[in-house]
Amino acid sequence: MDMHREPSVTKVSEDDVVKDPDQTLMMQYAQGDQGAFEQLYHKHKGGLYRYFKRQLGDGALAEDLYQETWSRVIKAAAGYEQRAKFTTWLYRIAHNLLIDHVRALKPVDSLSDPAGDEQPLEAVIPSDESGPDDQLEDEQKASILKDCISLLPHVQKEAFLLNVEMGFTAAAIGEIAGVGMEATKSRIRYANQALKACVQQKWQEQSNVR
Amino acid sequence: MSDENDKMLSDAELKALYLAKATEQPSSELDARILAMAQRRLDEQHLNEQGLNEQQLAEQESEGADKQSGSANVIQVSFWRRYRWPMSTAASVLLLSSLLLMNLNGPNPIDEQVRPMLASEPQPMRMAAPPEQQEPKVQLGPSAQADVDAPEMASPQAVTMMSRKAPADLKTEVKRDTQPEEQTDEQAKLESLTPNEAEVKTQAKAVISDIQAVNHLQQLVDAELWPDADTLYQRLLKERPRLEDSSHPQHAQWRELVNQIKAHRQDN
Repeated sequence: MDMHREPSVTKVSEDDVVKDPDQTLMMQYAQGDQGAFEQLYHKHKGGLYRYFKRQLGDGALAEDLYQETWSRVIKAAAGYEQRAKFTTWLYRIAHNLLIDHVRALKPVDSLSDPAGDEQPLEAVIPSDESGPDDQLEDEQKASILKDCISLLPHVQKEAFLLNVEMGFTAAAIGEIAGVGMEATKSRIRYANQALKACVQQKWQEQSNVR
Repeated sequence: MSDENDKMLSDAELKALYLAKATEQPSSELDARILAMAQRRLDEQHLNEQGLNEQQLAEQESEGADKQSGSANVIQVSFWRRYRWPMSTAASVLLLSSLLLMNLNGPNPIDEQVRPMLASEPQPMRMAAPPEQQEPKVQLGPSAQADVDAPEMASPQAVTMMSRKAPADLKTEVKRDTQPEEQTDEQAKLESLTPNEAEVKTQAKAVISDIQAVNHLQQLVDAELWPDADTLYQRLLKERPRLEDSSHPQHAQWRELVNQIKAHRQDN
């Protein structure tokens, strides 16, 4: 495996913007097609929901902000313009809401606290009875990764989630978060490195416990 | 250490691990709430468009189809509200113009009403030129028209009297200065009278003018300005034939003056 590969970032071309099917759906909804909105919603609901849930940990607050984001999308539908990709616009709204509602109230570090409703690390440690097959190992590592993500600094966590979850490029993430592309690349790189180290470390600790 | 590095995840593995656990979804209640919100917004939009369409149709019926070019998003405002500032400005300008014109034109009708009545009156106040400038004009001899219009002013005696105004004359002049307004009132009164009363009043005015005319002729005869006197006599004979009437109060004086003029004509 390539251990030090750069995060996969792809350039956004103007064709992507022009041919964005999400924009088409949005325009159709603006013209009165409820079915178009339902398609759009079902396509993006999981990613957007996890964007809030993974960053906030607080399920109720995540749901409030998630609903507020869609509310703003609905209200803005009439004046929606094809300036950027729909997903970039959507997550820009989400990012701003997150900043407005959370950062103003809480110190930034608190965003990095482990989620309260996350499964405790011990719970993912396999019991002596369980067999060490690969599938189980991946599942255990995935649980460890989820826990490690919650430990990341907020800016790295956001960059990682947008990159891995939505496949956003560094440029798009920079546009959403309002930072430069190089800074965004660094955040993604540091986040990947930190997560790999965290998963490795916790996996070793679990192995030692066993 | 190298073993640990070998066990480190790749980016692809990291992503795969993340996606393996990226299964959280919003609750179905939340989905329903958001979809209902979207549907509600569409319904409101539809109602707004319907309302606007009805309004546009009503306006089309009243104003014609040529004014209906806006989209459904354009809010139709009434004509008076839309052009309230230009209309307000135009109304203000119109009002101010009317007031200005009324003030400018106001005194003129009065002048026009007064002027005919003043035609037979001496008009010292209208003469802005100093007396030194008036005397040469008089010495040249007043024209017949001027005699009729202002008999007293046409005579040298009258001019001399005017140039040497006594305090009493000043009082008279003050009275004359206020005369236009008084005459305007009299004119109004005349208009309000019955036709017979108005005729009597007019006749009285005419008699007064006859007295002034005869006095003027008397002054010319006294000054022995025979050509002027003869000219005035000819004119008065044409314009005031009632002086020949024996019942006229000035008839005797008039006849005496006529005889003097005729006698002087025969002497020449």
